[in-house]
Amino acid sequence: MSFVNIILCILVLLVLPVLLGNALLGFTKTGITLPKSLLFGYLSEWAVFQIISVPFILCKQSFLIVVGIAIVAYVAIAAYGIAKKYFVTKIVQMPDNAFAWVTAFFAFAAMAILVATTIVYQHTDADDSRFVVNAVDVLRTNRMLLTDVNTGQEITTFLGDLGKDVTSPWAVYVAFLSKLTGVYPTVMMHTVMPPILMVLVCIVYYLIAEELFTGEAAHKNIFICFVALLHAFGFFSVYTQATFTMIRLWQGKATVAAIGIPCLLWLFFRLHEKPAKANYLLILVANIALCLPSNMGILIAGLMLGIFGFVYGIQKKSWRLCLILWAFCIVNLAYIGLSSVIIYG
Amino acid sequence: MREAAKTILNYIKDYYPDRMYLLVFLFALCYIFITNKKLRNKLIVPMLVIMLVVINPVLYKLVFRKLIYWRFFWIFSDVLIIAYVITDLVRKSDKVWVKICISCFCAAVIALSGANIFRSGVFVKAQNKEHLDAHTKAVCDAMLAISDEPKCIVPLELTWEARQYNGDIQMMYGRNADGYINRVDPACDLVQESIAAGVGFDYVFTMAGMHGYPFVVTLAWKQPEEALVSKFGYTKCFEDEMYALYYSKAVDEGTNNKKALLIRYHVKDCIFYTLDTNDAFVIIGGDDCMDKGLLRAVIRSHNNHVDTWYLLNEEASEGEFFDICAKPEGAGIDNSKYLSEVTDFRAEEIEALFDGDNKDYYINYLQPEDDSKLLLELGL
Repeated sequence: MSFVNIILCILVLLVLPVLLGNALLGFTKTGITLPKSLLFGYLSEWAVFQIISVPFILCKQSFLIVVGIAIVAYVAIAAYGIAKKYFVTKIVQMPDNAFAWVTAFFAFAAMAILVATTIVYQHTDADDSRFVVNAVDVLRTNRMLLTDVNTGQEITTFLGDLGKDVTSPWAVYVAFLSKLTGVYPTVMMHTVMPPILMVLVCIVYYLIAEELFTGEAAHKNIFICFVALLHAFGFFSVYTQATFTMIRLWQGKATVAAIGIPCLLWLFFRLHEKPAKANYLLILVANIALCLPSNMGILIAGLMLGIFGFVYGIQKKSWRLCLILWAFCIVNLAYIGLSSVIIYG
Repeated sequence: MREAAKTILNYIKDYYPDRMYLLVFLFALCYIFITNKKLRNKLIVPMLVIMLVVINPVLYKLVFRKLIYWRFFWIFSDVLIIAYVITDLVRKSDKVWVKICISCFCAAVIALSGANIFRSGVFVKAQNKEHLDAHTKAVCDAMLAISDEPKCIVPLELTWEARQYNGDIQMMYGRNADGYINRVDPACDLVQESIAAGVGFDYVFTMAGMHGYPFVVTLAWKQPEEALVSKFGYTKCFEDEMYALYYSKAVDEGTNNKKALLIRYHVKDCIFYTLDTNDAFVIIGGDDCMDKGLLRAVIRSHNNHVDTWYLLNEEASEGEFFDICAKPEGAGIDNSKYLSEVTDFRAEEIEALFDGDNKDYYINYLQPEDDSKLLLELGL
């Protein structure tokens, strides 16, 4: 990776998401902090990319068209945020006593170890022969999901499980990032994205901690420490959320498990406190965003929306709340229907 | 219903093989349910409803068994719930030293009784910026030093990473667990099996030469004999502790002598033949084969093109041939005709060529002489 690649990575993978996050959070009048901006910047990016890319993939159009439209969309949203002067107002809440400072140190160290793991260690996963190679082939051929990942040959239809990737084109998104930064997709997926995704994991749990331990800085930090510890010592089977977070975070389904589910939980907590328009919009963005990484995101987000909507509707005696969340599931149903037609049709 | 419940239980056992961890998680759920009304409403009640929906034999039978079921367990968020309960226990006391003691005690319990991922063997130190095996990179670099778009036959383990390293690498087969992408030509499957077993290299190199794969990679400890390699015009051009790479310039340039290759396929109830020559690819039989996708896979491995398909069953009106004609999906068949229209050579005579072979095996092959009756009759 050259110096130019590094600069482009900083711009595309850090600056751009923060600007997008600022725009979304400012529009919804949600307090703009740097961690929230980064998280919601990525969720916005994923949601916009999902909406743009799926129709073009379905119509077997060139990858470059998606790249062009996505760039225009992102620049427009970022420009909106800048024009409206939606900027980060706070980085993080500073500790206010000695015990909080000590626990903050341990929490930071725990998060740093998790992030460092993604850089220092590697894990060979056979599923990458599809997920990573899809991204490599998209960048190489400008054809989206129309290359046999096993042989490298051109194909004319979305074969087998590749049909699922049409409605959840995570590989195309990674190819997009590679196109903008000049970083090869394999390096992007294995080396560049995992530390950023792990930072997003830490941010989500930090935000949850703020909800669960409001005004208790030390306890928030202790919560983060135990989250990190349970991830590091949670390798009870190859199936668990902790395992997927630690060893294959770059794969779409792991991103759903590690970031998507906790993020939705945090948003549901906020909605339970205050069923305001802003919170509904953030949930909608998160729901669409989770359709990008994996078909599991479509299914899991839809299931959570349906059940949380039902339960909260009864608790709050608000059918409006229930119906709004159920209405958001239309997105998920549409993508599931489309995926089924592609695979079985 | 009982079957479904049993299946669900097995999934739970596989997901949470450590019963203590599962008990701790269930205890944490109960703890929050009893002690924290707000969080009960916000998190635990919806989570319990989700559990009722997911861990449900009726819904499993109707819906979940068609999906990757255990991934729905991620919603249960055991890490979040257990971490919250531990922190809540810590904050019960106002004294800092008590908080520290409880925290350290719980951390020690987790560290001593948990499953340390760093000692599990799933991680190795990063070997390069791609985070791929160093041997993969080395053998791929060796191929790319000779050719910009190397076509190669490789061991199955290498198929996981070779195309991750460089998408210009083309392989005869890849990881296709349970045919999740598409069906694989059984003749290519046999190549992969031969490489894995370290036997049958004459078949491997025959297929490599016929299909135009100038690079063949074997496992370093299962290499073919030098004499055999030379017979096919290959030379060893790279070797390390893991892999050995063989290359043929003649195959790369297409100047190798491609002796005709007749393959007999016997897959379930389907018996048919393919004949590869320097100039053509021909299928004989398989027109009434009902094994969906089999002949498509065979055609796909020949650049999705058949020069002539000789049909054997004049009374058949359904089968793979008819499916492919109705819905080609990119497959091209230049000509099709009944074998009986062209020659007196009968299927029984082709079958007799394989007398002496183990016909229970799914692939048999031989290389007819240039002046053999079969080639002459078919004008090849």
